[in-house]
Amino acid sequence: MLEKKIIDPTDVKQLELYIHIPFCARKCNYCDFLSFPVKEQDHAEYVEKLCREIALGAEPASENREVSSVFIGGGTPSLIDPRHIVHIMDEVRDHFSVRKDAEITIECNPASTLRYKFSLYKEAGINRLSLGLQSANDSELRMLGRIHAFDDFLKCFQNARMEGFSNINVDLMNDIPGQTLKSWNETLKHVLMLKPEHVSIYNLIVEEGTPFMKMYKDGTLALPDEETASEIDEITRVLTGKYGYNRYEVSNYAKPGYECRHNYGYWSNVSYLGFGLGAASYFSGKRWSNTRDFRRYMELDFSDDMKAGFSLLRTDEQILSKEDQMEEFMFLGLRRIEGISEVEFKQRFQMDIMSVFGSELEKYVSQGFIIHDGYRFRFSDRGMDVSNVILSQFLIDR
Amino acid sequence: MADIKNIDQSKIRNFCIIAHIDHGKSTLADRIIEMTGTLTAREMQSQVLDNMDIERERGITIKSQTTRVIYTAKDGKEYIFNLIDTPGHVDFNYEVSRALAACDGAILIVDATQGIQAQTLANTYLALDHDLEILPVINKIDLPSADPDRVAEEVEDVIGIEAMDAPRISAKTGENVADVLEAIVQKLPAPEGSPENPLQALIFDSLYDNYRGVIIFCRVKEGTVKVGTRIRLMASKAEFDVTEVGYFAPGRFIPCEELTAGMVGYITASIKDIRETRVGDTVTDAARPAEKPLPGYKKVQSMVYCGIYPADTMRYPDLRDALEKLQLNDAALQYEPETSQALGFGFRCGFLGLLHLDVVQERLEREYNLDLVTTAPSVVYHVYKTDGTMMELSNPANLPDPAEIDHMEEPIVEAEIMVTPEFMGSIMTLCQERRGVYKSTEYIEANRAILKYDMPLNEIIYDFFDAIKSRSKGYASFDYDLKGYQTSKMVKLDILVNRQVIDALSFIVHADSAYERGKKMCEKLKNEIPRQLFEIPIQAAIGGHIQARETVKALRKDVLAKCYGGDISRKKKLLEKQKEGKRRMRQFGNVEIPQSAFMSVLKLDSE
Repeated sequence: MLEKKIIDPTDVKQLELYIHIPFCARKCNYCDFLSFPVKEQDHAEYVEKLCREIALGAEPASENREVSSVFIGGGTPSLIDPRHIVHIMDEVRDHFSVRKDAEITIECNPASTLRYKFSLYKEAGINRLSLGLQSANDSELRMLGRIHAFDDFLKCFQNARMEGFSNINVDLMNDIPGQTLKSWNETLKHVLMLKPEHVSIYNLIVEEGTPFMKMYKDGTLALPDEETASEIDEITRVLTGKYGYNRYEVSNYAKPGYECRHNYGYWSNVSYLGFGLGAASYFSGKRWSNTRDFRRYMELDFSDDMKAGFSLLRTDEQILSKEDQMEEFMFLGLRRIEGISEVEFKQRFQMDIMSVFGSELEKYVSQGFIIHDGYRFRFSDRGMDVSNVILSQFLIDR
Repeated sequence: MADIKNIDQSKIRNFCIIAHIDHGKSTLADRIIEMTGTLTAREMQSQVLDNMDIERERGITIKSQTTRVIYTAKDGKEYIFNLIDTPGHVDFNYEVSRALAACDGAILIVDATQGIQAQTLANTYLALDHDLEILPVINKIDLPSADPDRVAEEVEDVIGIEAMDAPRISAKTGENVADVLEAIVQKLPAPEGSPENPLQALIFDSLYDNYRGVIIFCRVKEGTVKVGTRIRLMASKAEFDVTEVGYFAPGRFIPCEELTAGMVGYITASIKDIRETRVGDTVTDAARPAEKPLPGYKKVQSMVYCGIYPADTMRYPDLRDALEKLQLNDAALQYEPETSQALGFGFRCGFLGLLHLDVVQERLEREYNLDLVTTAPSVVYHVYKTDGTMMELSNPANLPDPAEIDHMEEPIVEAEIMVTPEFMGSIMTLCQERRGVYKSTEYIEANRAILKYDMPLNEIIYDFFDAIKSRSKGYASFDYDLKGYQTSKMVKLDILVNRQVIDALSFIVHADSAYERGKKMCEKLKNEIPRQLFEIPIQAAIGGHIQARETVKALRKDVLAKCYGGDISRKKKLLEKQKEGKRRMRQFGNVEIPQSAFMSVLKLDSE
């Protein structure tokens, strides 16, 4: 178990920022994220609009708050001119109080990262890189529609180290069509030998509207079967352990002390503000998302009447009810290896966790999918493997 | 319009249209209504007589509709046509026979491309049994493959009625339909009977109306009925005061003063329960009753039973209400509450046949917006116990302990399958597979024969109709009639999921096919039950002895490991979807069984 807390739940001042750069050089075959190729000129215009949103959005929120992490995600943030990134971070610091020890991450595509970019990121105060590798197998990379080869990644990783980045994450993917036990074993070994501080391992999900979905429906997508997928997980379990990584969340592994605080905040009830196209926010008991319509975003008028601009920008606003919050407490909290605390539940909701989720918890504890130790509930390895089925049962019938 | 009060009996024609499915009955009815000017073409919905959605979609008539139209004949006189529509499926044979009994003549439609089919014959014989004058009409002459000469010859040869001058028409385009109207006047007889005699009116259908109560559709054979008459229903013995009588305009009821011998119309008498107005019963005047009821009354009997349960157990009251409302208009539908360990509270429902079952199920789902779980259909078995008593068993779950059973009997039907020689072999194989006992082959002509088999009803209630169609490329047609009961070696096959008997999956099967059935069931269920947190054995057993086994392996991996940034709502939606999928399943201990699994057993032989 983790010795030190990754996030202090009693730290009410902390605030996370997410900044979305919705551009990429080319859409990957599996990707349904809000991302698309545009002209370079549009990059600059978008960044202007984004900075304006940061400036205006900060005012009501920044009071008494301290930014504990910033995550610049995409799309491919490393695609745009690094000076834009510097500009964005300047804007952030102008309007928010950013803690000295804040974790500031940028996502990079191994194909679009030259060394000078890293040096400018460093200048902008960025201290963590997240490299989207997905696989060390070039034919799998081609299958996915990635624009880089494994060699590009090696150069990229080396450049990052040479620029002094000492906190690097590598994104990898399971369930890639054609992926085998052997290829996964090689991918993971190749990556872990480089000793990145953090590894994220996601599953490929075939999403509506992607080329993969079309292939899936045509029956031409050779996804690994459940047995293989399960054995792949076993390889992951063994290798990450052997190389000294702790699994601290369903899909995240880190060297001690290098857990991603930003993502951890999402599972731990920390407030965050999202800026840019489609970005999601959670602040003072409300969740909302920015518009996903690029043209609409670019036409937003933040000039004088701020409220009007924001009402067009922010969609899907949802005020969380107590039930909503209790559900989230469970299905987000249980994603963490440390699980959830019944004490924290009681403090937040003034209710006993067993009075709300008693029958589910008892059932899964008795079946060995959830472990109850002391005042915490957490998934067993076996429970983590089938967590989806179990988490869905913590949604409250209304 | 003719004055209803002074109708000359000789100007009335009461008739129906009989045909094989799809030979154009409803289309001709439409055309007759249109051409007699009762409705303008603009007002016509396609097939006005079939007014339920399901009927229109399937192109079959389930509930009969009756219409009165006025036709001005070539002799310049006005005639009243009462067109009595008949249900078009073997399940509704009794209703058909009662509708026929209300007529004096029948138009027999034969498809000019297909010629005589099984139901053409069955319905013709039924019409002849009721001494109806038959007017053959050859339809679909607009089709390129039409061969009216050959079909006319066939009608003469097979049925033995004059058909060379039969109108050759296209009900679709309206071509020559005028000839049919004139032939109705010329060839079909006017009704007989005296308005002065004691009242005898035959109930051939009924309908429930929220304001008027039950509306009785009847044909007055003798006597007169008017507002205020105290009527008695001779079989149910119930008495009522008539509040309204009238006749049928297309889609509407038109009240009139009285109905007299020879007329077709309706009666209302503030009747609340449709079960008191049984089809085939005789209405008489309580003050001056007829000596005898009209012949041919039979109590409708359910042939097929199944359990119907709400998918969402909370909707049991809605299901009860829906069945109550459906029964108002469908006296053949029977139901009583039952409880299943597997499915909770529901109803055991009795139907005339599988189509009837289908129709009711579809109406419940469509008109009452219910999600249903239906158990395997069962016939009624006679279970003779060692204590000398006999029980009628319609729910396999209620089968007594084998030690208490002396023997069992199952219902047998006489099946007639009309088939061309090329498919005869495969149809005979099918019948043998279904325990059919061959009776005879009758050649209608060189190219067509009727195979007669005695078959257990329980072998045909699943998918026999589909199997016949698929093994004959759609050419064979099929009809059956209940023959009686016969001793048979029947056993109850239980299905155990995770070592627990699922009562709703139990069914009764002949001992010889029990193993095969059980094995198929297990295989089918293995594919229907999704992998879950545990390994799940599926077993088929007879009296505790396992016959077959399959295993659903445990789910090994189901994680949502994808980064959606902070978009928690999206994540939650995915979990909600997952939970919704689970909600559609039934929980048995730790095991979840999807509704589709209960339905899948109906389709064991469809591959």
